[in-house]
Amino acid sequence: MRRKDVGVYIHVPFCERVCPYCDFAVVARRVIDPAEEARLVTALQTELRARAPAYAGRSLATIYFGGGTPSLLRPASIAGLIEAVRGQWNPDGEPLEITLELNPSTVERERLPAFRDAGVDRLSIGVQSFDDESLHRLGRAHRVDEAHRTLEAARSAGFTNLSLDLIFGVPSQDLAGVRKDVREALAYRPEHVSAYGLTVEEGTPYATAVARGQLQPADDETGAAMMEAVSADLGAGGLERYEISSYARPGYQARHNRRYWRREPVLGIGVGAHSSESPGSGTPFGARRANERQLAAWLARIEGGGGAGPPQFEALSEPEARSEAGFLGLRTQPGLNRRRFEAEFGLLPEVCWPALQELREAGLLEEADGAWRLTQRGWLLSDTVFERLV
Amino acid sequence: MDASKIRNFCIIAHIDHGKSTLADRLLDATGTLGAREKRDQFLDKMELEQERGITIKAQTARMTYRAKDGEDYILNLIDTPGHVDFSYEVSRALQACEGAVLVVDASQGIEAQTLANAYMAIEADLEILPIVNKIDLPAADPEGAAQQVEDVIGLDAADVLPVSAKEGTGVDELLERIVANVPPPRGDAEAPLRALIFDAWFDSYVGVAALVRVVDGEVKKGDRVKLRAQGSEHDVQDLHVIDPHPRRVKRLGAGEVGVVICGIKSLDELKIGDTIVPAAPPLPDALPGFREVKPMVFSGLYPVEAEDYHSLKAALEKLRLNDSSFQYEPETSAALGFGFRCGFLGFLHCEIIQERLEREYDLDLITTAPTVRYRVEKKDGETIEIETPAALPDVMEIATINEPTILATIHVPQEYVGAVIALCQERRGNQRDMAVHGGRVQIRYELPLAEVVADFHDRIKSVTRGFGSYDYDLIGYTPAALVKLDILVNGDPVDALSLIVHRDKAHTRGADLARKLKEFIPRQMFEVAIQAAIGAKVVARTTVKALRKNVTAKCYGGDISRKRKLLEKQKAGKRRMKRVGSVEIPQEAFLAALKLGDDS
Ligand SMILES: Nc1nc2c(ncn2[C@@H]2O[C@H](COP(=O)(O)OP(=O)(O)OP(=O)(O)O)[C@@H](O)[C@H]2O)c(=O)[nH]1
Ligand SMILES: [Mg+2]
Repeated sequence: MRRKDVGVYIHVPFCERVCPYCDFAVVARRVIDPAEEARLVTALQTELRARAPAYAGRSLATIYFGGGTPSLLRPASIAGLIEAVRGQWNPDGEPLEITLELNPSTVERERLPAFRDAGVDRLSIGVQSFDDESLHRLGRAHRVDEAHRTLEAARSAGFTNLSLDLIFGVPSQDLAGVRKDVREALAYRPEHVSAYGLTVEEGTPYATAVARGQLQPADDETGAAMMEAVSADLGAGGLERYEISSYARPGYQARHNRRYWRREPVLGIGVGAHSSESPGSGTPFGARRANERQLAAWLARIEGGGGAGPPQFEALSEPEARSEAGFLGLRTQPGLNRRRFEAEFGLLPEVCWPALQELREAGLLEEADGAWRLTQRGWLLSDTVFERLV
Repeated sequence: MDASKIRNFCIIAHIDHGKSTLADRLLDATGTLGAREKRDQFLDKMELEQERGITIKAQTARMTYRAKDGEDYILNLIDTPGHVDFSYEVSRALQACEGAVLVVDASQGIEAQTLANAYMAIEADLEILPIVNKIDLPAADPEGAAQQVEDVIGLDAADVLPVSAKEGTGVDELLERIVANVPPPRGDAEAPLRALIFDAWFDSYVGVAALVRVVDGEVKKGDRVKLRAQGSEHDVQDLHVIDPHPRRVKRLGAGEVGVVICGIKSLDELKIGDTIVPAAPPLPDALPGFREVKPMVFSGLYPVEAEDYHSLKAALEKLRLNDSSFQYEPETSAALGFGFRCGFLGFLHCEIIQERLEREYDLDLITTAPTVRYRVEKKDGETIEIETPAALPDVMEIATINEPTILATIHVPQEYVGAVIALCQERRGNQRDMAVHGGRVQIRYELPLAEVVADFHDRIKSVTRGFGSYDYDLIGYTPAALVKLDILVNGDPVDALSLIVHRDKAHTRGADLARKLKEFIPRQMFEVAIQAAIGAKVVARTTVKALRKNVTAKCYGGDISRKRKLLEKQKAGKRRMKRVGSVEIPQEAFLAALKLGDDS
């Protein structure tokens, strides 16, 4: 039996600018007006109070500030929010993981010690690349030297759990460039790296540019070679791949992120935040809720007292829950545990999906130690595998 | 009705020479159409006809005309299609008429169908009224066209009436000539009823409507009648004339054209060409009917979604009620599932039926490459006819394959003769002869039907910048070095793509097909080898490389539901793919490969 715990995700919608590949709920703000910040923090706390009862009786495992750029908030605001969350649930015995997403910028750098004092113990730094050309292509606000300074400052501020975000497959970037990025990242001995292949999400300026032929993302072959190189180089640097895009030193896997792949409950508050609930009465296979993606609409509802009911609700059906268990489990290195799947759904994965055998024969899956896992090639073709599980 | 005041005529011409537009003017001039219902090519009633600007189905309209002699005449006009695929419509219309207005486009001159239709009318003993149309066009050469009429068809150039169907010039004179020159019907009003059924259609309210020409006697509502060949008896429930909308009448007399409704529920129970006679003896002789039309082009029709099979079947049944000239029977393909083998009069006919199915019945279809009917002589002495490559016996059993051969008559201005000859040679043609009339040349070629079904007409048009035209007659079967070309993906044959081709063309054809497929088959988990083979011999080969990367980088929070829905959508897309062995082939690949014939 798993522990009954909860993770809390807090979405801060502000960004200095909106990146052209981004499809998150964000609002561009160069400087945040203190009154607007106070209003946001109050609204987040209001929503927290309204939603926490649905997760009553659980212990608190993780807090994650994502965005947007949550580090644009003043440390006092972060501290206040952490306190509010802690006030709702008991700690679960293990040290709480409190992550803050951070961009390399002067303002944020200066706030690092204060964030640490506020209780943040893990930073997820949006480095993306150690190449100015790539940063420019990605439309990022920062330059490489700022990334270096931020990483150094993070260490000096005493952060012992750093995660770096890297993006590969950026137009203009070649394999050597990607490997150089990984080398530079490893120089900081990060505890965790998230390395994402650039995906062109529909409706983003990037998608438009690609459709117009102005941008050419890395082709299939190059993208594959990059992913393999990233995986090998990070592995050699001591970071083990434990999910499609996630690498960690032993003991430093992202506990909050892992909750999603393990389908453990997460309360998400703020604009566009998603929450997941464990099976309950009326929702035998769990449920999802989502907030509105417009800041004004979300604020209006929360301030109007409607905090308990996010506008979007989805009760999962058994087949939906099964496919999610399948493709989320297979995203990770421990893989899809056969017995646990059987305990939950009453049948073994290979009975549920005869295609698993075919995928094994095709060399995309392997089955060992009671679990189904992606092979080396399978990591690269995971969506081809997942398509067979819905 | 006084038969001496009736004139029955049809309008015949090459495609696009302006028959339907002329019909509009005649309806105008006789005040048959209300001002508000006027519309270009009024008689092209099908949506598809209007969109494509061509007539597919012959249509009749009855008009009343007060001639210069002060008398009222009943004019019954039949507008006919010009495209060669629908010439059986023309041949039937001719049987209901005493005269034919032969339209020649003054800017194009005589073309293949002008001749073919004119000869058909002459053979049917019709009075021909030649006109040259479109004289308003700057490029029009009415005198030249009239001279061609004299030189080629043998009608006096001086009798050719210049007309502009667009502007109405010459239309009044044409009406007078119709009254003066088209003979009145010759039937015997006193004799027992004999009415020729020359068209029929299905109406969901009244059942089968038979369009007849009363030759002798008369038919009244309530009469007990018999279908001469069918042998069945019926009560006449209703009679209509079409002027230009169906209007109920009490009787139809000798010489009149109208609709007979007698409670028949299915077109199978009534044969076009049959004679309606009184049920009571003595039984009059049947009128000469029509030669049965035989499909020339065959193709498999498959629903894109397997679950649409029954809808397709129902749609074919219904369509056939209104077009008995196409045939169908169930067929199964390993690659495409359950479908139907259909026979058509020509490629345009095939296209039209397909489009009507998709449009009027909201079906998505895959059509396999059109083939013709081959005659296979086997070594054991047996001869079989096959209409699908799948039916071809093993090479070892075949003595000879004979293919249908046509005699194509091509009309073209002199400067394009070279291009046309090159095209015919490329299509394995043998030149029969060549004749020059004025600036135009008539070339006759013997060609395999298979080489012309798909795109020959378009190719003629394109190599002659629109000035060439062609018509054909089936002349027999000729032995040819034909082979079955199979397409294989990872070793499994894709039966729907098999073709019967000439040995000399198998290689290029196979390579083209393989290349086209490669374009459309998405990369899969494994490499996909695409081969074109004759028996065990591979003549072309290409590969679709294995998919290397297909990853969603991030999957947190809100991504999860979105990802699941995306996967479901992709899976639904996959379901539309056909699986051959372990290879998934999208519909588009079939469509593209099957279309290849059009532009090769
Ligand atoms: N300028 C000009 N154009 C004409 C004249 N008569 C017909 N057309 C045009 O020629 C084209 C073909 O006319 P249709 O009346 O549809 O020809 P059709 O002979 O009925 O064609 P099919 O039924 O398909 O064989 C149309 O675009 C007409 O507008 C004319 O007298 N002058
Ligand atoms: Mg017409």
